[in-house]
Amino acid sequence: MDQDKILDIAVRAGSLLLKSGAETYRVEETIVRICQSYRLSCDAFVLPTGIFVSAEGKRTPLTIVRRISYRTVDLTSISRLNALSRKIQNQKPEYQKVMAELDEISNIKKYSNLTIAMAYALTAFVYVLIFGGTLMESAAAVIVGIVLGLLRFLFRQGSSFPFIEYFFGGFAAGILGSLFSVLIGVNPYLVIIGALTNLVPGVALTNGIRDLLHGDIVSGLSRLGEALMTVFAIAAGTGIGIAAWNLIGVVA
Amino acid sequence: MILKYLALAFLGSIAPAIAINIEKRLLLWAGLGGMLGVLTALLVNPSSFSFSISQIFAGAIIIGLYSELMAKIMKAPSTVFVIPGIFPLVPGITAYKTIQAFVDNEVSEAALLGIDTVAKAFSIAFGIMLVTAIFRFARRRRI
Repeated sequence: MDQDKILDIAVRAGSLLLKSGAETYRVEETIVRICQSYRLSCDAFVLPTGIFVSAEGKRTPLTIVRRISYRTVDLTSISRLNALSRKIQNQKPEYQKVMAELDEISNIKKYSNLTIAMAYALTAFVYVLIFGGTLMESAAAVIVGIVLGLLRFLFRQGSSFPFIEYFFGGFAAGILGSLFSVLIGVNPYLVIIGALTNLVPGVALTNGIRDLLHGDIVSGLSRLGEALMTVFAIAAGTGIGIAAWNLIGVVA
Repeated sequence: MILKYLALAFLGSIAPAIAINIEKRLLLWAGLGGMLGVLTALLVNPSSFSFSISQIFAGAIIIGLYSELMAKIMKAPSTVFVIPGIFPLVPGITAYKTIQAFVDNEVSEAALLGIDTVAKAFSIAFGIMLVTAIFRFARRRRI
């Protein structure tokens, strides 16, 4: 197979993996493994925001830089890409075949919006109970969870400012938590933190440290920075939400 | 009490896993991983439900082992089981409280909570990485 076609496959698979929230070493390994399967020696350097791959084939060296602007977590894609990379290693399929499969993975079926909103609600419900809340508080958190799920659909259409979703999520939780504490006398704090468990950057935090422990220092620190920014956005939103509620109380 | 907590941990792993698009065939297994992690944490210290570092570390090791095992059986990368599994252990709330303390201008409390958050996150990642490293080492020695 041609050198640029091999690199095309490798970089495409790598960027899909990175967009799905895989760890840095997994992305680098996959790219190198795909190239090696087609007997091309290459080196990959991966950051959370971009991929650099360079191959020294029979002809002139070839380098590809791919910028990654938006990352989510998608476990199905990670698992499918892992299987594909194994298949490439064992069967070395044709270019067209691999590309067709990569296209299929990038348009992979997600759970319906309703299911995801329900999952947000269930998460809120469960974590309020885990933090020691009452059933009343859980029920209030369910509503906040659904609102957070709706906000996700509003903002996750390729937004250019990823933290805005978290800011408004915190804002909504702050206002609704205060509202429920007035309406039905629940502890607003438990409702808010239970619902916000949906947004807390657990994956970024642990993936960041896993990258650090693995020796991918730059990636690790930037993922931790991302986690920190996310937490800041949530907390700022919540703080402003609670303050706004108090202000309404003062004015009214 | 412990049974109720285990059931909550099971749901608490499944629900976020759906939000991050896990494969349907792996859903229940991912929930089981979260439950095993919390069970381990409770076996280390049955009286404490807000987990300490040692509890979290023990839970992370078991989740790591479970994930490597399930990765072999179900033919999926281990991350798919790790991420939902550690969800009930991740100190997201401590992280949130840290920033909240900063916002409230309680700097010294924020510093303490911040150290707590980082230490807990590290113990999860370290537990998982330890298992991954051992498995990789074993695989390499065999070849």
